Amino acid sequence: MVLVLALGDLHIPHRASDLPAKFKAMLVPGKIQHIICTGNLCIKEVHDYLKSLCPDLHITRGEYDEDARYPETKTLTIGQFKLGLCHGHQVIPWGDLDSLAMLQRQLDVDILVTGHTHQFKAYKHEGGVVINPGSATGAHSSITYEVNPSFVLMDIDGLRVVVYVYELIDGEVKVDKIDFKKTATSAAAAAH
Amino acid sequence: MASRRRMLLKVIILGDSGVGKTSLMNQYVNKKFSNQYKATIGADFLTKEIQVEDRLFTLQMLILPFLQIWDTAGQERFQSLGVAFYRGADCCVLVYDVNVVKSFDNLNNWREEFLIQASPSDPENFPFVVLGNKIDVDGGNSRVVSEKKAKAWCASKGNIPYFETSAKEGINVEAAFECIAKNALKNEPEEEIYLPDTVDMAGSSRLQSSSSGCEC
Amino acid sequence: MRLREDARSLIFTNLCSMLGTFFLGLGSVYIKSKEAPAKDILKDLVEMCRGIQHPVRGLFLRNYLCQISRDKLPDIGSEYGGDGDSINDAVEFVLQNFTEMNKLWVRMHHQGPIREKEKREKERSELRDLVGKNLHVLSQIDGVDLDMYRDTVLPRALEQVVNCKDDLAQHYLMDCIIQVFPDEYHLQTLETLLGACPQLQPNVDIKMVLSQLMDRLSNYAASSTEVLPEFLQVGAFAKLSNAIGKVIDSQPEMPVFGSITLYVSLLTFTLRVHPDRLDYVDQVLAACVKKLSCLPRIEDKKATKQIVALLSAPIEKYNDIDTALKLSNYPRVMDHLDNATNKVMAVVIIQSIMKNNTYISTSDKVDALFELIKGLIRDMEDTDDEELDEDDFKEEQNSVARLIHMLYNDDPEEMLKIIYAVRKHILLGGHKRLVFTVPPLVFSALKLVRRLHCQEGDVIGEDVPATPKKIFQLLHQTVEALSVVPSPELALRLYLQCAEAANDCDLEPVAYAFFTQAFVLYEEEVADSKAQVTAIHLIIGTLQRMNIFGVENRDTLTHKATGYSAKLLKKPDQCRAVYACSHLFWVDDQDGIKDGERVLLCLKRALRIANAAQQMANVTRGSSGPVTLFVEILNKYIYFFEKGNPQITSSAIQGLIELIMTEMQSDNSLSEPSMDAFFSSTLRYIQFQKQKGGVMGEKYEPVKV
Repeated sequence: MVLVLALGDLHIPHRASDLPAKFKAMLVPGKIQHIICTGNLCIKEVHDYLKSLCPDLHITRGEYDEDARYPETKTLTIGQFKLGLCHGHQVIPWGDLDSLAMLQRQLDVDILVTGHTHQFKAYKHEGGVVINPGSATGAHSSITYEVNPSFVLMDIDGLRVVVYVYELIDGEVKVDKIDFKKTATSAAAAAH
Repeated sequence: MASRRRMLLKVIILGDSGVGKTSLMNQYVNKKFSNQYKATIGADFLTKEIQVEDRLFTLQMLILPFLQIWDTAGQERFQSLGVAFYRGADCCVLVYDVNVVKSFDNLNNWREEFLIQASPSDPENFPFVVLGNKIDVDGGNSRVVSEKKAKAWCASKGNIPYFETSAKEGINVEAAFECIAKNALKNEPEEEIYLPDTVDMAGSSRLQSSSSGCEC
Repeated sequence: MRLREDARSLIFTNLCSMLGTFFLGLGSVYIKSKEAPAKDILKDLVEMCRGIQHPVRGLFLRNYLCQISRDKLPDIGSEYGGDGDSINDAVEFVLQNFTEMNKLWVRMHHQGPIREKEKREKERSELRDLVGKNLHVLSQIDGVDLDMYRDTVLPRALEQVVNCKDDLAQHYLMDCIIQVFPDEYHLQTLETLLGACPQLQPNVDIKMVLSQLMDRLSNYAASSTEVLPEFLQVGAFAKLSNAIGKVIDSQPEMPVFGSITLYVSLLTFTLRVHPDRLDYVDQVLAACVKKLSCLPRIEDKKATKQIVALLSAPIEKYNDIDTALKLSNYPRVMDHLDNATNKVMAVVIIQSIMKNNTYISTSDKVDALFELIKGLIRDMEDTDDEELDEDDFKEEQNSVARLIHMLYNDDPEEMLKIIYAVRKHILLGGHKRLVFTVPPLVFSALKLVRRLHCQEGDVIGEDVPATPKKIFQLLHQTVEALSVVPSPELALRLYLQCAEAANDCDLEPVAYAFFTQAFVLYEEEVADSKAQVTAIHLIIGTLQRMNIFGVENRDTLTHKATGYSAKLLKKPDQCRAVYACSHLFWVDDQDGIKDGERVLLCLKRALRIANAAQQMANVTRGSSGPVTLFVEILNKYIYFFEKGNPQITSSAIQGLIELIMTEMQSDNSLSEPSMDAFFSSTLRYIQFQKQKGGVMGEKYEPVKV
C-alpha cells in the first residue's frame, strides 16, 4: 500500500496567504510516500514545505511558478500504475476532458493528474483515470467560480487505487472516495 | 553529651524553590499553614521531639540554602557554608510539586547534589524519602506528574519510599515524617554528628583566617 | 610591637566570641526555663553582642543569636508570651539584630587593603544570607501582620538599606524584602517600597529589583481573580509607573537597555493584571517613546532586543493585531528601531496576523498597519542596498504578499477603499517590490469584481462607488505599474486574467483593451522563446474562453494569435500552437462559434509545419523527426471528427494514420518507444470507439486500423 498526495494550484502568495490550517493539520510528515504537484506553488517556501512533508516530490511547471526548472510534463511509475503529471494550461481548451485524454495517450499513463482549472475532477476514461485535485488553497480562478480548497490522496495497492478527495466546505473537511481497478489491457499498455 | 548526640536525628530537605519545603515542615511541627509564599533565606531548620520505638529523639529538619533565585545577578552559591550543613545527615527528603514538571525532573539533580555534598559512606543504601507535595491544588486537576511516574522513578533509585502530601490540608504529612524518622534511625552515624553550635564557630574561624590575613 | 598588638586583638576577639557563644547558649536555656521574661534576656543578649565589633565574628555570633532565639521569640500563641507588647519586643529584637548585622557586613567592605577588595567582596557576598536571615525570621513571625509590617518592619528595614549606602547590601536586601514577605503586603505598601528605589546608590541594579517585584506581583495577580480588586484598590499600575519614571530620571547613567527592561516588566505586569486597560499599555509605550526620543537611533543589541520584547508582548497577549493598531504609541516605538530590527518586528506582526487569521477590515486600519510595517513596504533612509540578502528580501516581500489577502471586508465599498489604500502603499515600494505586491493586489481586486458580478442587480447606477468598471480602471493602472520593473511575462498573465474577468462582466471594450495590452507586451517585451511558448498558450487558452467579442474584434484577436503561433522559433512549438488555435474557431458550447473550415485550415497548417519539421530533422540529424507531431494532429482530427465538424472526414483520418505508419516504417526512423505507445494507444482508442457501436461506432466504421 502506497500513499500518494496529489495537489496543485496553491498560488501562494499571489492568490492565497497559505494552505488552510485544517489541511496543514492533516498533512503531517511521514505518512505520505510520494507527492505529485501539478504546479503553481508558486514560491520556494511552498516547495520547501511540501518537501518537508515528503522528500519524494514531483512537480510540473505552472505558469506562475518562479522556479523555471520544473518540467512541463512528468511521468512516474508507482507500483503497478504509471502516472502522468502536467499543469494543464498547455492543454486547450482548458480542462476539456477529450483534450486531456489525448495527453493521457501521449504520456501513455494509467492516471493523468492535471490542474489549472481549480476544480476537483476525477473521471474514469478508456480504462484510465484523469484527476484534477483542484486548488489546495481554494485560490481564485477565472475558470471556476466558488473554489473550495481541495486535494487528493491516492492509495495505490496492487492493481487497485482508491482516490480520496478532501474538500474544505464551509470550514469542514469532507472526504469522498473513488475506487478504480486496472484492467488487464491497460496493464499491458503500462508494461510498454 | 554522647547520649544527647545519639538522640539527634538530622534530616535534610531538598527541592526546587516554591515546592513547599517550609510549609511541610511548619505543618509537621507547628500544625500551621499559610497560603502566602515567603522565600526562605539561608538555612532554615525546625526541631521536633519524637518517639520511635519507645525511645525519645530530637528530629532536626534542615532546609538548606538553595540560591537559584538570588543567582540571577551572577553571584556564586554559598557553597562554603553549605557543605557543613550536609554533614552527618541521617536521611534526605526530596520534595517536588506534583503540578510542576520541572520540580520533578530536578529530583535527580537534588539527589546527586546531596550525595556529592554529604558524601555518605554507603551512598547506595543511604536513606532517601520522596514527597510529591501540593496534591490539593485545584482538586488535583492541575496535576502534571502522575503517581505512577513518581513511583517508577523512586523504584529505579533503590526503592525510595514515596508519599503524596498536602502541606495545606495536612494530608500524609505525619505519616511521611514518621517514615522519615524511622529511615533516619536505620542510618547508623559513621562520624561525629554535627551540632550547629560548633560548626558556626568553625566556619567563622576558617573565614577569619583568610580575611584578616594573619598568617603570622 | 605591631605583631603583639595584632595578636592581642585577635586573642581578645576570639575570647569575646567564645564568651558570647557561651552566654547566648546560657540565655537560650534561661528563656526556656521561663524564669525571666524572654524580652529582657533577649535585650541583654543583643546588648552583649555589641561587644564583638569584628565584622565576621560579629556576624556569626549574631547569626547564632538569631538562630537559637528563633523558636523562643514571643509570638502569637507561643509559650514564651504573645501579647502585643511582647511581639513588639520580638520584632524590635530582630530588627536591631538586623541593623547591627548589616552594619557589620557593610563595614567589611571598608576593611583591609585595597588590592584584596575583590576577594573581600566575594567573601561578603557569601555571607549575605546571614544578614538576610533576619528578614526571613521577621516574615515568619505570625504577629507581623500588615499593620506592623507597614508601620514598623518595612520602614525600619528600608531605613537601614538606604542609609548603609552600600551597593551590594542594597541590591541584596531589596531583593530579600521582596522575596520573603507576602504579595499582599507589597501591594499595600507599594509606595513605601518603591519610594526607596530612587534613593539607592547609582550602581545598584534597580531594574532587577523592580523586575523581580513586578514579576512577583504579576504571578500573584495570575494566581486568582479574587486578588485583582486589591490591585485596583491600591492603584498599583500608577504607582509602579510613577516609580519607574522616577528611577529612570534619577539615574541618568542607567544604560538604555536598563530603562527599556523596566518598561518591559511594567508592560508585562499591565498585560497580566489589567488586560482590559489598553490605555495603560499605550501609556507604557508612550513613556518608552519619551525616553527613546532623547536618544540617537538605538544601535545597542541588548536594547534592541528589549524593544522587540516590548513590542511583541501586546501582540502575544491579545493575539490580535487590531488591538496593537489602536495603540497610538506603538509605531512611534518602532521608529526607534534600526532598519533590520524594524523589519524583524514587521515580520513578527505579519506572522501574528497569519497565525491568528485576523482580517484587517477597514482602510484606516490598513493605513495604520502599513505604517507599522513600512520597513518592509519601502526603502528606508540610509539603507545600504548591498547589505540586503536576496533570499531574505524575497521572504519578506512574500510575507507582505501573503498579508494582502488578510486585508478584507465583506462590504464591497469598504473593500474597494482597502484596495485603494493598499495600492497607494505598495506603489511606494519601488520596482524591486512590485513584482511581489502587485499580483496579490490584482487578485484581491479581481475577487471583488467577481463578488460584485455575482450579486448582480445591486450595482446599477453611476453613483455606486464600487463598480467593476472602476475596479478595472484601477487594475489597468496597477498592472501597468509593472512596466517599470519590467516584468512583461507577469504583466501579460495579469492582463489576461483581467480580460477574462471583464468578459464575465460583459464589458467588451474593457476586455479588448486588456487583450491589446497583453499583445503589445507579447510583441515588444517577451523575447525568450520558451517564455513565448507559454505566453502563446495562455493567450490562446484565454481567447478560446471569451464569448463577448463581436465578429470584428474576435477576428482581429484570433488573427493575431494565429500569427504569433506560426512565428514561434521552433517548428514543433509552432505546430502545437497552430493546432491549438483550431479551438479558437470551434467552441463546444451551445452558442459557441463553429467555423469548421477555419478549424481545418489550422490543422492543415499544423500538418505543413510538422512536415517541414520532419524534413529539417532528416537534414540535420538524419534520423527520425517528430512523428509525434503527426500523432498529436491525428488526435486533433479525431477530436473535431467526434465533435461533428463536417470538414473533418473519416478519410482524412485514414490518410493521416497511413502517413504516420509510412513515416514510422521509413528507413531513418528509429521508432521511439514512447512514440510507438502514443500511436498505438491512439489506434486502440479508435478501435475502442468503433466497438462501442451506436452513432459513434458508425461514424468510425470507414476507418480501418
